[in-house]
Amino acid sequence: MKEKTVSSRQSLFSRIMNPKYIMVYATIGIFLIIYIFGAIMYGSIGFTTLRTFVNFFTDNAYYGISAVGMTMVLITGGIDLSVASVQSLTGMLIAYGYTELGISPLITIPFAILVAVGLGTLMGAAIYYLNVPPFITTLTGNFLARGVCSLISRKSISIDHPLINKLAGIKFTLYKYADGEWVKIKPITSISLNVVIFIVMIIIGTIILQHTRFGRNVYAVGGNEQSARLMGLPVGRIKISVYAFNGFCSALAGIAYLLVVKSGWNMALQGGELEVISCAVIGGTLLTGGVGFMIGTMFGVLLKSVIPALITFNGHLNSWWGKIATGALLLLFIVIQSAVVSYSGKQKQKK
Amino acid sequence: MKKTYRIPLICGLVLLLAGIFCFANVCRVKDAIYDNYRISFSDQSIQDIFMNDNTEPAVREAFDEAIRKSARTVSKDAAAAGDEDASMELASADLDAAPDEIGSLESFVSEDVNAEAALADAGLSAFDTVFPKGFPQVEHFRIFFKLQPWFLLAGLAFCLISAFMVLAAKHLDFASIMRSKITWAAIAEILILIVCLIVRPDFFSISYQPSTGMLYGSLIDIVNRSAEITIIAMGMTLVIALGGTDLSVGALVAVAGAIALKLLRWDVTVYNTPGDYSVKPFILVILLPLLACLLMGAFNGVLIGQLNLQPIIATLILMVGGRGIAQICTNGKQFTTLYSPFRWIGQGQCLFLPTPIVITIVVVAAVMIFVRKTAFGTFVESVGINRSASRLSGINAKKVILIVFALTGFLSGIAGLIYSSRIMSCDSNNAGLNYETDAILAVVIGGTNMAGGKFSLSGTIIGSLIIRTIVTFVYYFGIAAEATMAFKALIIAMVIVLQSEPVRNWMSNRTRRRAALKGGENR
Amino acid sequence: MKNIMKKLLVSVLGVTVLAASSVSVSAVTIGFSQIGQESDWRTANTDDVCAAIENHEGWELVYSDGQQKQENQIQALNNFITQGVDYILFTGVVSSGWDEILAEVNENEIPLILLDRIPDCADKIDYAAAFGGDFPLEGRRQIQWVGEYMKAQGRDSEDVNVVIMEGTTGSDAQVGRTEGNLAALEDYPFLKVVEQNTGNFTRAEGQALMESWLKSVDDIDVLVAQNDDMALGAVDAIKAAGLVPGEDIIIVGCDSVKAAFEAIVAGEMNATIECTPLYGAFLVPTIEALEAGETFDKEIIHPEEGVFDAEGGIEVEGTVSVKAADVIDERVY
Repeated sequence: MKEKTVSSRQSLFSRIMNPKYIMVYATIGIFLIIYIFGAIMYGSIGFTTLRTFVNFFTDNAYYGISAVGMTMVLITGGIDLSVASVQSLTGMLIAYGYTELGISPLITIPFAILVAVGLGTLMGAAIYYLNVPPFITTLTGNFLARGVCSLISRKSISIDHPLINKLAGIKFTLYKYADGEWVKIKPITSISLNVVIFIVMIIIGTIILQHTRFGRNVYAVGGNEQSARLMGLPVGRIKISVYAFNGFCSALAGIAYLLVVKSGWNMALQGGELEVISCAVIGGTLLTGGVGFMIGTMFGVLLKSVIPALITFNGHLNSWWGKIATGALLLLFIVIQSAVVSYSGKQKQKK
Repeated sequence: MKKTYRIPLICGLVLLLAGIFCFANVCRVKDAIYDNYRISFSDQSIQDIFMNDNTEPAVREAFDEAIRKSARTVSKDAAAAGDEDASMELASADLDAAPDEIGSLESFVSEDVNAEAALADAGLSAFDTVFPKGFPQVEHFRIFFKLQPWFLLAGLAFCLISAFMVLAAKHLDFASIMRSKITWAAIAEILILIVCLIVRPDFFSISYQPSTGMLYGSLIDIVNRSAEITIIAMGMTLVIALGGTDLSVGALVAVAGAIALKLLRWDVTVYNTPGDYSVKPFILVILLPLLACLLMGAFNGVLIGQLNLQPIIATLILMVGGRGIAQICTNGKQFTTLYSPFRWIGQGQCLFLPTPIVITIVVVAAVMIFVRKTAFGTFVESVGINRSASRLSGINAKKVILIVFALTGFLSGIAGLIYSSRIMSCDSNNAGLNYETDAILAVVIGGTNMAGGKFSLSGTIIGSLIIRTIVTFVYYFGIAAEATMAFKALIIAMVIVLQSEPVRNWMSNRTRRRAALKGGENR
Repeated sequence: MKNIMKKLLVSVLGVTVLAASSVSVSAVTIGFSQIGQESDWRTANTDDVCAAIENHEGWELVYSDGQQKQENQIQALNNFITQGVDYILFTGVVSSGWDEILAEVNENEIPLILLDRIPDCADKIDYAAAFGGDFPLEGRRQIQWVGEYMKAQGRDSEDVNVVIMEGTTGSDAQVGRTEGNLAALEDYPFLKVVEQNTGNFTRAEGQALMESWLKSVDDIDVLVAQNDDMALGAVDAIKAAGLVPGEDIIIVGCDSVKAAFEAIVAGEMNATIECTPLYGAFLVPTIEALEAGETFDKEIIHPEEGVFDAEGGIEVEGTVSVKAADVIDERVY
């Protein structure tokens, strides 16, 4: 271990410039380009304020939390299409439990997490033991969760419980020092609990992936499952625990979303699974498995927030132009990303 | 793998289903008699049909029974209500008209005070029950009565033939049949249908609808409404065989509808005004949307083939942007047209069937011929299994990918035309919503592996039918539509568990072992 | 190379700072967070409101389309706050879940005007004005129209089988109209509901649902569809079953889009209950009044709405139906 730190210090620069991070850099670069573009275009109406920047985190924090688990699933070469409906289900269980049945969230929150983890484990087991493609297994899980959600209630149910209110109310308002006193930044900027959870989850995810044996095993399984098996890695256990972890992340994201909307709705976050997946993929995770970094995913989430923000700041885009703009930016982004990657690949070959 | 076993098996199943239809149709007629259809008893033409000497005995019998049944309830009601005067009036009016029935009923109600009134009322409601609204349909019910014994006979014969065929097929390789994913998909579909049959036999009834010139029934609906998904899933099968997915199909459905409606309502600047404002010639209305979808599919193909992008993300672009393009075409509005040639695509009839069914058959046949009679199917499989290896063997993978995605786009266009023709308008937001997941599910239930490689087009058709059967089932039995998702999940879970490798291996091993045991004994 | 990059970066940043420091023109900016473009009705609503604001001198519109997703709308409201708009017009895709973000709007002291769909937290937040359709009333009117029509036809002595085609589950319109439907049914005991399911407010699903009902329910007398699109879809399904829409099955829609008027004139539909999307006309005076410093009550203002059918003259709660053929030319959406 000591040896490693020494060697890493020696080659810090080369470590940072490691070509395996190229996708992440591409993502960060594109985020900066788009941000600067937005700043130039809409700086006058508040695009450069701190609040806008914090909003990039706040807006999609729940997707970000879910994307942590998703990144891991994608690294193993799997996919999970059930995340959004599990989030919806979590919110529904908690809201319905309190508002209709009078059960305290203190009980329903662990229960919802248990359900999500259980579903994740079940799907992981089906994928591993029954050898069913993840796409289909999790799509079934998606239908199941959404279906159960709809069966629970057809209406959106709001929840008004002190605990939820308190959690939702946790906000770290930012102040600035001006004219000899601390005043609130205008427009009021505050960091909500969700953002904290999001960042903490990113850190936890990074630690698991980069600094634990489990993380290395995840990469190994994604890189080549066959050889991982031959190496004697417990492939089944790894896969199932990754899906279970993803279930946990989904539940956590569902709670985070609950804090935003304080209600459960069976149609909440419809199509969110693709948002989460595209966050991870934009962040440089390969759907084929074996490649991906949490930090990239984080910037993927930020990019997901920047694009709608630009559209809102423009303020004149119709529904259709909004959709086309989103599609075009996505296209632009992945083309640049693929160009960067193939260019660097050629450079490497030249060497 | 030997394919010979399939033909007798499929024939047997088809014949079995035909037998069930017949059974169900007879049930339906019986039900129709017992239940409440309304038409005036005084209609002379109906009396002419049923009250002459040529009337089929079966008709009379059913009729009598219906009258008896309702007489019992009606007489009680009438007695309870004490509504004597009104009933008496009715009675005197109708007593002469139906003397036979009254004769046969007297034993039931003679002791009742309001006997005659009740009888007349009964006669009336019994007549009501036999006929659905509108006179022309009487004719087709009469045909039913005539054919009833034939239906039963044919049903029995079909069942016997299929049983014989299954027996005859015994020497075939059962293990490989059990191993085939298609078998399990088919079994699942049949199980769902059997549940329907048990709950309500008339689910299976198929009748001829004189006013539209089409066959009419829930099973026809299933096939009819699955047309879009089946057509798209044909392309999706190839895409998945390449190891990819295409998420943009739903959006392309919307695009095709929007362009077609724009061309049909070329004049429109304001909202709906009825009339024919189609671009001439009409064929352009069909071809341009298809061309547009072909190009958009090709765009996907270029991104994936030439630029090597991951299919999910590459097609996500059009999935998001496509609906925007569709809305631009129509300025975000829903145009409505009344142009009848366009109506034919989705609502017309062709060979006594709804046109979408015929279109589906043509498309499926064309795709199957294209894929199986040329080397293209093999190319797709080899690219799906190993792209670089296929390159080494001289296959241009980029071209194959381009063709497959363009084809999928084109097929989505056809589905889009059908969809928009069904509603005679365009709906950029809801047209083709979630078609991508349905199509992918259809393909996978049909036994094609998501990882790419071997594919099965016929399995896909069964998959698509399963999906539509679930939806029809939910609507038909009045289950809250919200439950559709959970229901779908349960059935799909069942199918994929049945289809999963360990289960199939276990099943085929069992049959093989048993076959081996038996073989040993015989020897 | 590196130097060039540095210079480029510096100049870009410089431009950014310049742009950031430039002061915007002091117009009244109005942010409008719309649900999406899920139906003709919604498009008409958007067009009307946007046109009214854009055509007003000195007002600037910032429009954001939620694409039927709550999370998008929350994000849009968040961005409106950041931009410091002067007014926020808001129509929520779902009734609950707006507490936090609307409280934040309050906290930033931006006047809020609720349109069309009123969130259920309306009593907990401050808003400058609220305009909304009365969905329960529309639902009641649907049933009342059917009941009165049947009485006029002399069919109230027998049981009348009614099927109710609901909108997208959980949407305000579906919840309100279903509530209204069921409440009004108590006054008309001869109306029997035999089936009730959702057609998701779309023509295609309305068509498929009706198609199944025609086979599973033996005798449908009345179809109550919670919007016109589903009713129009059902018309085709009824035709395909060999029945005559409007005669064999009485069809009542809601919203009053022009296509429904055409169907009524053609005899294929019987009535439609109005739910007007044209909010621009009374929105402009409201904002002008707010600009002038006036305040409004917290009461929700319902626009005047009518009922249209083939003959006219049927009395329902609060209004009498109007003959559709007379007013069809005036419909703009």
